[in-house]
Amino acid sequence: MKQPKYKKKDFAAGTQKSTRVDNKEKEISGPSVHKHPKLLLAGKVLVILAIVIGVVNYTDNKKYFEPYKGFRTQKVMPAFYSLIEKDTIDVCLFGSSHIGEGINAHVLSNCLGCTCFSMHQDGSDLQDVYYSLKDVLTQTKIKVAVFETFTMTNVLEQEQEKSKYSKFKMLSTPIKLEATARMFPIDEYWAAWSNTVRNHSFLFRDTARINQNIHPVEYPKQRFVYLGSEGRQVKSMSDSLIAVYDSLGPIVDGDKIVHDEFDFEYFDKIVKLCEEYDTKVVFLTIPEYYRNIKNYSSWKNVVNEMIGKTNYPWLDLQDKYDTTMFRKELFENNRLINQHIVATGAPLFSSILAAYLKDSLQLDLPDRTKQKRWHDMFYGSEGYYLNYSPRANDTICHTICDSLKIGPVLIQNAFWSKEQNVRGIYVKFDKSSFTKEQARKPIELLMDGEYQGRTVRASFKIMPTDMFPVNNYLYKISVINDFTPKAIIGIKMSSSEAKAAIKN
Amino acid sequence: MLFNTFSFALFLLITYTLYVLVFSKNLKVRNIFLLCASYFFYSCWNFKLLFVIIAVSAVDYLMGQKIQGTKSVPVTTNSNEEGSEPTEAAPYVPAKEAKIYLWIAILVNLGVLAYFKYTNFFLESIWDLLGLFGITSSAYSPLNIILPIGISFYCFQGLSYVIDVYKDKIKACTNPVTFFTFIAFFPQLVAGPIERAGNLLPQFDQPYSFNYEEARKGLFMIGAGLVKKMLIADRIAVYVDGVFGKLGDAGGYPSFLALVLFAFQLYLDFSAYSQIAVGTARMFGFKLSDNFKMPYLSVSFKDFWSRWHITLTNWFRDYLYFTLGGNRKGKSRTYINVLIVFAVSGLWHGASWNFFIWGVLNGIYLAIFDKVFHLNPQKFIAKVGCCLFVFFSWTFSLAFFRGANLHDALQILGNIGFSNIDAIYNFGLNSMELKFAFYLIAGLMLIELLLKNYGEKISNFFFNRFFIIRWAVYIAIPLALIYLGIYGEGNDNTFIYFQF
Repeated sequence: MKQPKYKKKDFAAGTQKSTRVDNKEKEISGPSVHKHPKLLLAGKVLVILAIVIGVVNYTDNKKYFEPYKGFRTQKVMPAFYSLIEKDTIDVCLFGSSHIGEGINAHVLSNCLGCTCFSMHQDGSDLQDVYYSLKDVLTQTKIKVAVFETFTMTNVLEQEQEKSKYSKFKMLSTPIKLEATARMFPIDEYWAAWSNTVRNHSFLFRDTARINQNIHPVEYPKQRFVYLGSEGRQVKSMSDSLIAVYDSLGPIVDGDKIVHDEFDFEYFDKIVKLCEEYDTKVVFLTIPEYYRNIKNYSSWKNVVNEMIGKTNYPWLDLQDKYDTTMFRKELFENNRLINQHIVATGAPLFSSILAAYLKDSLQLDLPDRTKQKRWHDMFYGSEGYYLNYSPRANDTICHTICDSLKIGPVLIQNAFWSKEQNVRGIYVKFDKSSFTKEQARKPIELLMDGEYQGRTVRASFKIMPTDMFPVNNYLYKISVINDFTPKAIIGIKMSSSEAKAAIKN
Repeated sequence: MLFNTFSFALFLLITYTLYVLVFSKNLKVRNIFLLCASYFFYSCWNFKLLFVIIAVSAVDYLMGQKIQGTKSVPVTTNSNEEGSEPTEAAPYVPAKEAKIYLWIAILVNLGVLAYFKYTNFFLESIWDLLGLFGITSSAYSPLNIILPIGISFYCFQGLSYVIDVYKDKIKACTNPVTFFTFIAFFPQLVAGPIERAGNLLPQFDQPYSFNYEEARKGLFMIGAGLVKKMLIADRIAVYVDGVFGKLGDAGGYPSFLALVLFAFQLYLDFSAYSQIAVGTARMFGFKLSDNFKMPYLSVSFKDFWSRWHITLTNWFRDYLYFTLGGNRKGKSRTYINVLIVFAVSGLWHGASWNFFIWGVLNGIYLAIFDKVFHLNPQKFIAKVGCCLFVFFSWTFSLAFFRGANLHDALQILGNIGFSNIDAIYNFGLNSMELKFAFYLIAGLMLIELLLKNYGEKISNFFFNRFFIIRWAVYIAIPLALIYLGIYGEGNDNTFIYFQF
């Protein structure tokens, strides 16, 4: 029977107030009665879940928690397609961030006199490399493909875990559904599907990454054609990091390095594809700081299980580690399993690779230095002045002399610049002038020039650079202050056997 | 299967749905379902060790039956049934046989506990002792014994049942399924609360009907527990682990901070577990005991132990302290009893001298400050002072609880000071994250203070009014867990009390 809300007597004096209080209390404390409580609870839970999943999905789609934001698809691939529209790529580099950071494609191009491109991707494995190679070969004809060996092994378990996530991300939704249970333990399902869940700790520990993801970097228009290589790492190893090596030792143990499941399959596919397109194959190992790795021979053996099956050349700079030349300043300031080369180190390794391709392998690469278009494309880029003379009308670099013979020494070219990036006096000696050993020692240079409006004669001690331009030995001094060089009038070697001090 | 994992969420969803829609209609079927679910839950850690819990349950069940059989009153169904309560009668005197059965149960429960938990500790201690007399050998190596999760909890729960039957506080349970479910009930199986048979057993005989309010409040308790665990406790743990991992480099201030933070980590971690356990049980229609009542607002050590891990403290009080004579045998004997209880409680937590010292230290606090000085402040300022005194004394003792060994405990205590203040951000938490942890702790303490004074009102207003705020909280909890929680690769998210 339906009860009336208030009985008449409730409204009598003195009772009205208490009834209201009763009702209020009932409203506050009494359990609410629902017709379908189970449905109500399920409905509410579903609404909350839908909202939560919606929010997470939103941040996933916006890629706020991406560890990096599609670097290759955003930057490298468009640059590649733009380049091949008008030009030809002669040498293409494939691999992970090690080759992207360790080889400067401009320096390599300038040293080789042809066009090189770095088709790298952070965290690549051989599967990635194969599909990159396929993209490249089906679009353009390349003479040489250089493959970096870091992609050929799985360095540590944690790297395998990360690559597992990145591989999973590339799959289509139906395959993902099928593969989730196979690839991940149950507690990692969410992490596999959602970058937000996986990288939520960025909120406290990598806010810069989130900011960058929310406000993506507009890549500035490059002064020179973009060739895929990077120079993101700028801080080289500090003395305190060296002290860490003293106490903790190397971080990478070659004995623990193994192949990934699909490595052999994709290695064979890569080699076959290159042969099919008549592309020469070269393998390259970019070094890490020598104290970063122990038992490198074991790692080398693992890589050699693949490369050894072929007759293709392999430049292994880790094995041929030159402790005097590969100084700590060339490596980034961390003790990680995937330690990179810094931006100032990349030119050295690029020139070594160039020398290897040109001198040791004597590959038949096209000489584009005779093409004005090629010079226009590379003029002033990194490594250009080191291999070619500045133009007469160059406002940045000013020629001091060309083909000057002083005794037995032939100076191919000397120039100076006060501009920020190329500040200094550069002297390029012909390789026939002295031996490799001498090329690592300082030389005293006697010059005429102007200083504060007066003609003066000055002596500079110029130092060999880390660079190994293919055609010459390069010397440089950075500080020239107000001195404007006019002419080289003499040189003096520090080595007694190769002394050549001749004055006009 | 931890409470703070996706697998538990899935397990809970499936189990609860089946429970509500299918298995709750018939009492027997419901209990069988709960038993199966509980055994499945436990076997996710180690299937083989499930047999230990089954064996212990079987012995306790049989001994309960046997003890009941020695009584003149015939065995009825379960306790607390109408008419089964003993009426006015002469004090119950157990038969001799009953004592034998009781001792069998005690020996089996404590024997199992001793074997799995204390064998290596015992052997190591003997070996160390022999070493003091110059007898050493390299032959000794610890035995490979896996500690079954939750063994200290379910053994104590089983033991309390047999003792209560022996003392005629309850009637023995006649239904093995009910009893086995009582021992293995999954919300409280691995880390308590340690339930008394008198409270929990009868609930298995009450039919379940879905209650929207209970389910909603249970879910909310789970959410709140997860916030405590994943947002605060696990975040603090990163810092505490960082300092304890590098004690040599920590210096004064980081060590002090780590110890204070550990006090909060321990409380939040364990109270979160208890809250999730109580919330889960509530959803299934069971009411478990509270384990914590804002212990860091205690003004005396007696007060503290009536608010901290209440079910264990009560267990020791009822079954050990009173058995030893309690405070009825003179002052000095009372102090000794207190020290014995706390020493045993320390060893219950972990098989090491660290825990023993931790227990004894807390026994001394209680004996000296409460029993001797009668710490009982009345004025507000005195209460605040006592509250801080109790907290920091407790924190001091936790050096032994957290230290991996005596050396670590003494080192962190020796480190304490205000040096190395610049290094506080070098132990796993950056400035932003450490501040965030502090704000959360402060916020939580404030909420606890408000709940202490206005708990009922706040709860009623929250659940029955403030629609928008309530829904904002409902949505904020899972989002906060996902975005701000500590979980995933490289994080240890186990509950501290799982190791006991």
